[in-house]
Amino acid sequence: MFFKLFAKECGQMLKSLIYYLFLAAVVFFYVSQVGSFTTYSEPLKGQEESYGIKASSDKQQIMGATLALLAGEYEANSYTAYPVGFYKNVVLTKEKQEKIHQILMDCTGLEEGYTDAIRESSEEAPQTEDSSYIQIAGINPPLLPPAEDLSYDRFLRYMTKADKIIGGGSSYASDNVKNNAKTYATYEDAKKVYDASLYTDRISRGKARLFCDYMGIVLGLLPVFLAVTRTLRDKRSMAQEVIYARRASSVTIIAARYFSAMFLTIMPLFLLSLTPMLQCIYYGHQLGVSVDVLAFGKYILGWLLPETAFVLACGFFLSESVGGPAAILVQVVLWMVSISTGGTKLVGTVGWNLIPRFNNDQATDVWLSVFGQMVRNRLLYAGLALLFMAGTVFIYHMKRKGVLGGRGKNFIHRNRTL
Amino acid sequence: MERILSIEIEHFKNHYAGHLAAALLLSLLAPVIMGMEALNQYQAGQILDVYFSLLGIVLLTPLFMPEQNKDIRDLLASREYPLRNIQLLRLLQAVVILAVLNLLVLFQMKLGECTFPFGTYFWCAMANCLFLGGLGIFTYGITDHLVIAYMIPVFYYICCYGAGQKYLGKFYLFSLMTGDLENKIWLGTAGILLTAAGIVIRNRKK
Amino acid sequence: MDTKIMIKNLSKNYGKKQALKNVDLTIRQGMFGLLGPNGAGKTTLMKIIATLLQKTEGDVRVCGIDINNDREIRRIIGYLPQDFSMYGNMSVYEAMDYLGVLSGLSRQQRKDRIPSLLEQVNLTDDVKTKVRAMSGGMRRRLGIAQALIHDPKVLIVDEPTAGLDPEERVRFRNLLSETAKDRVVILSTHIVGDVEATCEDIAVLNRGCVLFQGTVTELLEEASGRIYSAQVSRMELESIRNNYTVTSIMMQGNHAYVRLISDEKPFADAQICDANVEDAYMYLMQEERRGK
Repeated sequence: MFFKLFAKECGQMLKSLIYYLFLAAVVFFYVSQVGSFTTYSEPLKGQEESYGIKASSDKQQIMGATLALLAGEYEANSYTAYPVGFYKNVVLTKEKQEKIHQILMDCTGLEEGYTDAIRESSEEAPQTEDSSYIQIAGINPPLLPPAEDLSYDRFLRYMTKADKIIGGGSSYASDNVKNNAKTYATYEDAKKVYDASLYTDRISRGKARLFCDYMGIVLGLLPVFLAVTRTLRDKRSMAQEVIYARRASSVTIIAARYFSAMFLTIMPLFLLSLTPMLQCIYYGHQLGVSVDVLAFGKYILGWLLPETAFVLACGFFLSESVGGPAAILVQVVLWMVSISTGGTKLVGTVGWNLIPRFNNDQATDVWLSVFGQMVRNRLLYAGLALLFMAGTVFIYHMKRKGVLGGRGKNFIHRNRTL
Repeated sequence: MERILSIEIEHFKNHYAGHLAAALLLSLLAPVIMGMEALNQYQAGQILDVYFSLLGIVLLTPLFMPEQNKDIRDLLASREYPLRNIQLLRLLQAVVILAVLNLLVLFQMKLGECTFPFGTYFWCAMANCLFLGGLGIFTYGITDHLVIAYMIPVFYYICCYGAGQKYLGKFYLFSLMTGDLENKIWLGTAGILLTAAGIVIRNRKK
Repeated sequence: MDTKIMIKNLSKNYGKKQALKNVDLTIRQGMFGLLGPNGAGKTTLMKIIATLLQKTEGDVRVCGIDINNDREIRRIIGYLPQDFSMYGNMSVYEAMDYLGVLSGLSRQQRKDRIPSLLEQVNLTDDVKTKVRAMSGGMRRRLGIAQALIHDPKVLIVDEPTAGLDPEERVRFRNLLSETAKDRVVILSTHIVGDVEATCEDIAVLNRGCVLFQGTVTELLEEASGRIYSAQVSRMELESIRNNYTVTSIMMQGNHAYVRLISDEKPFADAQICDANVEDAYMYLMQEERRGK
């Protein structure tokens, strides 16, 4: 019965206006955001333009720069943080300030006089031809030397503590610490990145990540409208009771609705990914690189499917239990919180975000470093989706038996007609 | 006057309480999740643009919800008092609530010693809300489908997050973040026109 | 398995309000009419049998199956709710097909049954009509067809004739009688004529209690010898109304022909006459009021 019902539900959705609006929105987003295919530029030895900037891997430099930053904010008692992505200026109480002071003392061995101890970075910026320095924020920053016996691991633990005191989202969060010191990339660095894109990512994987990054933005929200429409349709057409009284089990009914919505959300993505996939194959052919033909498919299933599953499940659950507008509102808020987490950092913001960001078709090493997080994250949302669907089936079943939601004959009218 | 008052109260009690509660919750939650202290002009603008605009969708879009049911609509339409006026009264109610919440958020920011032009920002925030809400009302008028009416402005909002400025030009929502005020005049005007068009279309269709 | 519904001591409470009080009923094969004023508990009773509401107390068995076993019950019942509707954008055939799938019918079964059912309810020419474009009568007929699609042993129809024009009402009753040949059909209504024309067994429900259960003849017997008709003047009408339960009035110039209920001859020129179902129904209601 499930497959027949599934087919019927798909047919119904294919006849609904909202599905086509949804498709139009997805396609529009794809065209305007993902845009045209860009090739990777191979770095050349001694090229005039710079090889770009990279986060410093020199631990002493990271520690120094981070401590200098912390000391500066401590002395002004004015900390910058992005707890939910929005700028927040944090002022600490006396006790908390004292805790930060303690951290600074433990890390530097100094009790005071931090400002005087800060010195300019020793590294010199590469000079351009007219011998002026290129100035970029965060590059070769001022340093506050750490205590000699401070290991990097202990330093990280202190910084995590400081971040907690400030309330999260500060420059001392373990994800952010590495970015406090930046340096110029060398030819070798640039070459490594380029090679990784070609041989580790086999071109298509990097492109697939960018694809998922953009499409994840719309899929983190829009599917909720499909879920809400499907749920409210029964009420709107007063078809609830006729369906309630049928033989089909609640699991079958809800699962058919859910999976048909999921199927019709994911299918267009496969179709949309055909163009960039073909471009990847063509580009790989030119360079003589073997392209991962299934990359887009794998990324869509691993990255976008759990996200869609969650958004739909949440939508079905809330619209069945609370009401359609509430489901939409909750999803909008979730979306906004998720999209602005990480502030301006758009590459490798994963954590427990519904919408992880990876707005770069290269940066293979960053991807590999967050891959574990990504897997855990997606598993979480897939699990939550299952949980919400179980909840939806339960509520539907209870409504069907008349335990929840209404009484006597006016039950339809007493609920909101929307 | 009494009639107007009773229409307002009836609507408030029966249909609006949920939306109002959601909007109030969002306004009160703002300082918890965003920090409203010592913001400069652009950061304060970000809160209004990115966060407060959403209240326009929450409060304005469900304008026709009470008569979503066709029978109720026919019943109301057959009365002497024009349905359009009832809708306008509801709209007025929504706008007033929006203005109050707007002031609430602005005062919170002022108390937090943020620097921004109070009056200008009030109108700018209203313009954004009117535009998004107007888009919703217009869509509702055309499609008679509340979910679609929510979806269109929400998608517009997402687009502003994405490629936004390049495509949307003068109708780009998040312009306070870059200090551009001219956009708001366009947005506000378009919002009013969309709302009016939505109401006209809704009441013409029989 | 016997085609019979047994209801024992059934009660249903909505919070403090008691919608059904210790209802005992046995419903046999054929048409069964559930008669009662608005708010008597008819819909509540039917919904409990259709597994759409939970009983508070008591025992209900449908063809030997306990009502708590809702999966099995749903297999053998067809239900037509009072305000039946389907997704507006579906055509008649699509709606039938969709509900057929939900009833677990195979493709072949649906192909076989749907056209013949639609013919039975006279909708063959409307297979492509959208549900939203259907008139009340058409929709009701579609409702019957959908309730019969899986050939249920029990058919439950809630006030199916409300809002139909007289011609459609008669046609609808006949349709129901036809389908009742080999199953239980429970029909609720507050229109006495519906029951009189079609049902052998009836029950009268008021305020959650069963006032009467039996055949139409038995119902008529209850009131026999208590129905009088008389010609009275307009002037007298007012006082008669105050003193007796009047079951019908026909005005003719300055006179009125009235039918009324009385235990003994009310006045000299009153004539005793045969009770009809409406009289009997009114008599039961009157007795119940008195009992209170």
